[in-house]
Amino acid sequence: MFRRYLEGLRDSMTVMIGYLPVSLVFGMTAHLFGFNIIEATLASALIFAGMSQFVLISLINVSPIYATLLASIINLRHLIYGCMIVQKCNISRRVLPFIALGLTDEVFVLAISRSDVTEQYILGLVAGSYLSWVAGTIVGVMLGREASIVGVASSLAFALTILFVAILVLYVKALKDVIVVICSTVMTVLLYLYGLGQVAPLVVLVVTLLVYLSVLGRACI
Amino acid sequence: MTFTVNIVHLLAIVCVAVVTYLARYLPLRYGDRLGRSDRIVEALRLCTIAVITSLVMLSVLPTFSSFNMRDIVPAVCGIGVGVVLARRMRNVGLVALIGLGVYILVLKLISPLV
Repeated sequence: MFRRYLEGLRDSMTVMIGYLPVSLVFGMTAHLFGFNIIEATLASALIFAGMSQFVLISLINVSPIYATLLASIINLRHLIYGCMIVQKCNISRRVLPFIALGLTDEVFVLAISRSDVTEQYILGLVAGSYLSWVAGTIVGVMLGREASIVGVASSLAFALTILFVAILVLYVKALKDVIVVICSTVMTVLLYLYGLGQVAPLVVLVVTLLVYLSVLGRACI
Repeated sequence: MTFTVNIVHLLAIVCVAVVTYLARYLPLRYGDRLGRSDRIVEALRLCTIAVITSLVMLSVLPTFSSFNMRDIVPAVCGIGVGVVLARRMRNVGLVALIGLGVYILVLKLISPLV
């Protein structure tokens, strides 16, 4: 049983390598947006979901309610992960709270890709990735503090833009994805020009959901 | 370094954490009783793309609408490197750090010229 845990911990190395730079960037930008080391660490330790954490820190100074709502909606996709995991392996109530804390996109992909996945294996994956994410955040906040001293803090905010672009490049695969990107771009630019830029992410989210469920979901382009 | 916690930040963190935790916990606990809808999975994936696109546009629009070459050229270089690297590497964090390095480098190089 412990052997499967160690196996999961070993396989989490790939996730850790991916998480460290992202969590460093999160720590640095969190510092830039006014989060201290306790708040940034709490965000990583309690939420443990990269994209929504970035959304939360970048919009919280505009509207805390809006930032909370949007960050929460983004994480609703995790509803699907648990349903798929329990179809592949049994998870006891003893370890369920820990696995629920760490079931991120990357952990889910690694777990679901194995035919012989067990709860101990997932627990190993979660432990490695969770610790690297929280540790990276703490180091990132400290680096962000040094960066602000040498005057490059404002440039660090640009890391968030490149991070979003990189995630977008990885997400876009099919024609319908490109259509969503183009439509979202047009809607955001129009809302920005009319001074409604801050509500643009919520508007594009609702419009995409409604259009997909009413039209594209049936047509399956 | 300050150690006082901003109550608004704390409340927002706790709210997002609770929603995220429940979104992970409940399906693990009761998911075996439910089916899975491919349509919902795809809808959530497309919503994520839409939100990310919107966030990218909101972060670059102020730069591009300023028509200031000192801001635009480093941004284009940083994003360009980010797009090229993201297509080759799977590590988005590393891509962000390299893109940021290029952005800062070009910013420093172009500042005395423009």
